[in-house]
This record gives sequence, C-alpha cells and structure tokens, in this order.
Amino acid sequence: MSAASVPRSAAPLRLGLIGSPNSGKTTLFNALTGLRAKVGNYPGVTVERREGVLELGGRRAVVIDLPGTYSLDPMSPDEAVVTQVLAGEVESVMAPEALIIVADACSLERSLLLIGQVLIEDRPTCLVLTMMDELAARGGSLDIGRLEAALGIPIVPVVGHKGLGVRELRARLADPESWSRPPVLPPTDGSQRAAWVDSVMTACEAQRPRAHALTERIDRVVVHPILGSLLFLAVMVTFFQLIFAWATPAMDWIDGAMGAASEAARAGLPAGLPADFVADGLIAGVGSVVIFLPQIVLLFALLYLLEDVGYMARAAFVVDRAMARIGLEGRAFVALLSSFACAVPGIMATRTVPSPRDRLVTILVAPLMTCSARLPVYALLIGAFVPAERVFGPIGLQGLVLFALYFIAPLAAMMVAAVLRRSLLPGEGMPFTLELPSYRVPGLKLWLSQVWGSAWAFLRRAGTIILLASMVLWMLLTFPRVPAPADLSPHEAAAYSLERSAAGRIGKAIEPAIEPLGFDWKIGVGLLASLAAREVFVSTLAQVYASEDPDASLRAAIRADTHPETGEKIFTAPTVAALLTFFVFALQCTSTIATIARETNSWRWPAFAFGYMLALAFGCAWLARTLTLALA
Amino acid sequence: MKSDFNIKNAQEITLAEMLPGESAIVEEVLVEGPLGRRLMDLGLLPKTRIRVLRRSPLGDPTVYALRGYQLCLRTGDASMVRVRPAADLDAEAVSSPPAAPAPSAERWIRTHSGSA
Repeated sequence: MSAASVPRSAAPLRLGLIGSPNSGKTTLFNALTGLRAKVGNYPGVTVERREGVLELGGRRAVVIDLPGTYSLDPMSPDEAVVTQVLAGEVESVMAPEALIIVADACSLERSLLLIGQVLIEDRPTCLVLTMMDELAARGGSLDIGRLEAALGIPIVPVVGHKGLGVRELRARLADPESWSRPPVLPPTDGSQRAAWVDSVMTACEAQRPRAHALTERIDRVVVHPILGSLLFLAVMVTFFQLIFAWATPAMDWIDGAMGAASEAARAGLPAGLPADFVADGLIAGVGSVVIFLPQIVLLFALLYLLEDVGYMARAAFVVDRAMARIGLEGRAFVALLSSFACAVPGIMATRTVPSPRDRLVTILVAPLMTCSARLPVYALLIGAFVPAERVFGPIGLQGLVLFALYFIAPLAAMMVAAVLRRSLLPGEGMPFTLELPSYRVPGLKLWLSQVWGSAWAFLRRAGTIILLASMVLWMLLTFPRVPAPADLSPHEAAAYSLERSAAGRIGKAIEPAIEPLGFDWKIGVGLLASLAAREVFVSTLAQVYASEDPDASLRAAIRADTHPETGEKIFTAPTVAALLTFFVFALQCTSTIATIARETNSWRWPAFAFGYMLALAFGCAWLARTLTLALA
Repeated sequence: MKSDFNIKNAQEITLAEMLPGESAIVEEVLVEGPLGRRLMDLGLLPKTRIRVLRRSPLGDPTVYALRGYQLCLRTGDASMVRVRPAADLDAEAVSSPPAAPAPSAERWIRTHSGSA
C-alpha cells in the first residue's frame, strides 16, 4: 500500500512501533504518547494490545505498540500478532501506514537482523536509535549520516528517558510520505544476511562498544555460583515477604475501611433489604476487589524495578535449570513463588514469560500454590481436630500437618506442570532465549506507569468480574428471604435464613455428590460460599452453626455436630482429612478464575483450571478419607 | 550428530562444548525449521564471533556474548550450533586504550542529530 495515497487530513496516521525487548521501545512509546495509552487484547491471543494517540503538528496519529520481538518470523500464535498486524489481518486493527523501528545503538549488530526483516516489509520506515549516550560512554561510535545512506531510511537518535531527540522524532513522524526508502531490499538468506549486516556496520564506520564495565563488575557477584544463589534467595524471600506480610497492613486498613463503610451504610439506610444489599452485597463486593490492590501494587513495584534495572533476567538465568525439570523456564519462578501469597498477582506476573505455552502452564498450576486465603481454613480445622501434642522436641503435630499441607501443593503443581507439558500442551515450543541486558538506572516515569498499568488493568478487567461474582454469591446466600421465627436469637435467625436460602438449598442438593467425602450440606454451603474467597468458608460455617465468634465457639460447634439420622459425628478424622485435602487442590476462588480469564483472554482456560482442580480435589480428598479410614 | 563432526574434524564442535572464556566462530545452525530460523534471527549466523561468558550456578543455561549483546541458551539449544574454536578475539578489545571521555548525552544528541 502506498502511503502517498493517504489524504493528509483524513483518518489519523497509523504508526507501528517495532523493536526487540530491552530496546527502549516502551520508554519511547511513553515519551511519544504520554500516559494516554489504550490497553486491550488482540483477539484470540494473550498478547496485550497498546495504542496511544499523539498530535503531530495538526495531524493526529495513532502509535500501535507492537509486542517486543527479535524476529518477524513467528514461532507462536502470540508472536504471529506482529506479522498479522503488519499485514492488516487482525480484525479491528488497520495495518500501520508507516513503521518506527526502535534499536539499541549498543547492539546495532544484532538489531540489524530485525531491521533487515522490517525493511523487507517495504513500507515507509524510520529507525530510532536509543542508548546513543551509552554507546559513546562505552567507547563505541557510528556515523548516523552514513548509516542513513547505507539503510536508505531516516534515522533519529533519542535518549528516551531524558526526552532528548523526541521533538526531532515527532517532527519526522508527521510526514512519513517524505521518508526516503531503501533502493534495494536486504537479503533473506542466512549467510547473505550476515554479510549484509557486516557491510552496513562497515559503511557506517561503526566502532563496537566495549563491554559494559559496570555490568561486568556487578555480574561477577550477581551470577556468581555462591553469591549469586544467595542473592537470588534473598530477592525471592523479599518477594514472598512483600506479598505475604508487608501488604498486610494496607489490606487490614482496606478491610477496616470497608467494614466502617458497611456500618455507615447500615446506619444511614432504613433496616431491611436495601441496607443489607449495600452493606453486605455492594460494599463487601467492592472490598473483595480492592483488597488485592496492595499485593498487586507491591509485587509489580518490585518486579518492574528489578526488571528495569536488569536483575530479573539474571534471576531467571540462575533458576532456569530447576524450572526446566518441570518443563518450565526461569521466568516462571517469580509467578509461582508469588502465588504462595495469592494466585491473583502471581498469575498476572506470568506476563514476563515470553513463550505462550510456558505461560499458560504456569497460569494453570499457579492456583495450586498454598495461598494465604487457605490459611484460615487450615487453622480452623487443624485447631479443632488435630491434637496439640508434641511429636518430638518442640515440633508439634499441628505444625507438622500444616507443613504437610503447604508442601503437598507445590509438589502437585510440579507434577501437573509436567503432565500438561507432555499431554495437553506438548511440543518443543520456543527455545529458551534470554537476553541479559546491561544494568541501567531505571526511569521513574516508566516504572510508575508500569505499576499503575498493572493495577488499573486488574481493577478494570478482573475487578468487574470479581465484583459481579461476589454479588451473585451474596444473592445466593440471601434469597429467598425466609423470615426466622421471632423467638430465635440473632445468630440462630441468621442460621435459619441461611439454611432456607438458595445457597442452603444448593448445599442440600449437592449433598449426595459430596457425601462420599463425608461432607454434609453445611460443608456444602461453606464450599459454595468459599468460591468468593477461601477464607469465607470459616465465616459461613460460623453462620451455619449460629456461632457467636468464628474461633472458640465454632470449633466447639463443629466438633460436637452429629448427623440428624445416624447420630454419628459429622467431623470425623477421615472427613477432616478429606476436607483439608479438598482445600489444598480445589480452585475455590472466583478472583483467580476472573484473573485467568483476563490473562488468557478466554473462558476456556479458567473452566479447564476449575475442572481439573476440582477433579484433583475430589479424587485426593476421597483418597485421604479412604486412607485415614484404613489407618483408624 | 556431535560425534560425527568429531570424527570428521576435531576442530568442529558445537557451542555447547565450549568452555567459559573460550571464543569461537559460528559455522552453521544444525537444525532447520522455526528453531533454526530463530537461532539465526538471534544473531547466530555463519562467521559470527561468539564468546562463552559463564554458566548459571546450576550449570545450565550459559551466557554468550555475540553481536554486542549477551544471550543465554540452554545446552540443548546450544548444541544445535556448530562452531569453530578461535583465539580470543575480544582480548584486544579489552586491552585497547580507553577512549576519549564520553560526551554527555545532551551534547551527543545536539552534535549528532543534525545529520538525522
């Protein structure tokens, strides 16, 4: 398509931004478009779609930020997005009329391979060279005028994070019709490509830069066999601590604020359904979304900081071999580790895994990690049913059971990952290729926009689904409203209404299905309610048992509960073993389901994850019950 | 495959057999299809100078320096690249006299953007 045929005043000029990871592409995109990027998904793939608008001297332009890539020859459907967008084959995305290639001047020799592929596209192209300052600092040089002549396209050097050269670039971008075009297109064949790169490097009198001295020095420690491993452990402990403990004050504060808002709503509204809806449905629903923000913001603040500095690539390098054993790669480690605190930020952190297949496997096993929402359930059941006796020394039986529950999950995750890699998502996939970029001082603006982007994406995309799901669950637990007899205490009245609600009825309806595990309808209601969040199981059981507090009196109540017909205890050792095992495996979390849907851009994968985890939960719970019965 | 090359020519080995600190020249990528094309797109083209920098603490993957950047490859992928061992071509670059003091980024852009 000829750009000259596009009338100047018509639809906005469409510019495609192409570049490899670490080329400074995102910094340049932000420098050009500010923070007005529109973020979405390409149809059918997990690739994020980002577009930003800019004014170019009276002419409006849209910059399409194409996913970072080393090659236009795709190895996966996700990578194919770049070529499909260029060809105008993506629904609702018009092909860009002109292209901007971003390349790091220090690794021009590598970047020329991608530049050559883009030039073969044969449309108006402009090359933006970043890191010219670093090239000079490392004793390298190149003649931009000669490089322009050799490539036949205009070149603009910029220092994106300082905004240098951006004005010149904007002036250039306004008029792609005037850009020079290469007289001859570069070769496509292997050894000819190497010769072409050499000829261009010679023509622009390129002096290759020295190795980045600071990077060499830092790497002597960071990837040192012992020091590097220790640093890796320290960083990962920090990640874990950040989400597990340091996010807690903010989460408690949000919890308290939502509680206060609920009370204020109750005080302000007439008692009855509207007040219940606002206090227990709406405000609690919003709270169940906002509560994730501290973890997400803190995780991504550290993740992007280490990514921008250059450490995350080293961390992946250090841990890759261990991850390779389960068919995954180093970059999946942070996601799995974070999932020990909460699968929602963990699943979002899989964005750093470039291979779509590896990313999907990581997403599917992340919810198996023992997240912090399981802890209240474990605490209730272990506290009520596992004797607090010492096994040896200071080690107690309760602690050992908790330890076992924590470590079954990652073992199961490893096995599931290995099975998925071999069965459902087999194949060689992409080679593990990881660039170790030079260490850099991260740009504050880029970092803030990355963290904000993650938080906003969660609120807008997953948050709406979580809000909707928690409202539906509230309605199930509330309707139909059967008024309790007047002589009941408030706790008994709540239990009475709950038993007759839709949730109570569903609990009774599924009783035959969960009966093989020893569960009765009350546990069924708890399991249903725990879909909102696993810890809700505890408060729901408290409501079912009309307990005044979820600790002492609930423990006593569930210990004493007997079957109405047989008179046998409900919570026997085999039932408790089955219930604990069920919570290890089941995907009892709509927030995780919503996040999987958002990250995979489909409902197929969350449905699969829910299904396989439910099957695993059922099977293992039954096994746990049977084994405990046999031992007893 | 590897042993074939060893019989034919002891000088021709794969990238996976190189030790940290050694340098080599890429001869060819031994695998076709998407994997081979990707390795070439990453710069592993014939006649490319490549140096083994270091192995991961767990022994795999390995970092290589080529075409002005550092690339990690697993042993399996590295064994798909046939190389010819070479003298340490980067030794001279390391010992070359220091360049003139680097101009600041601002001055660099001001003096060089005229030609753009």
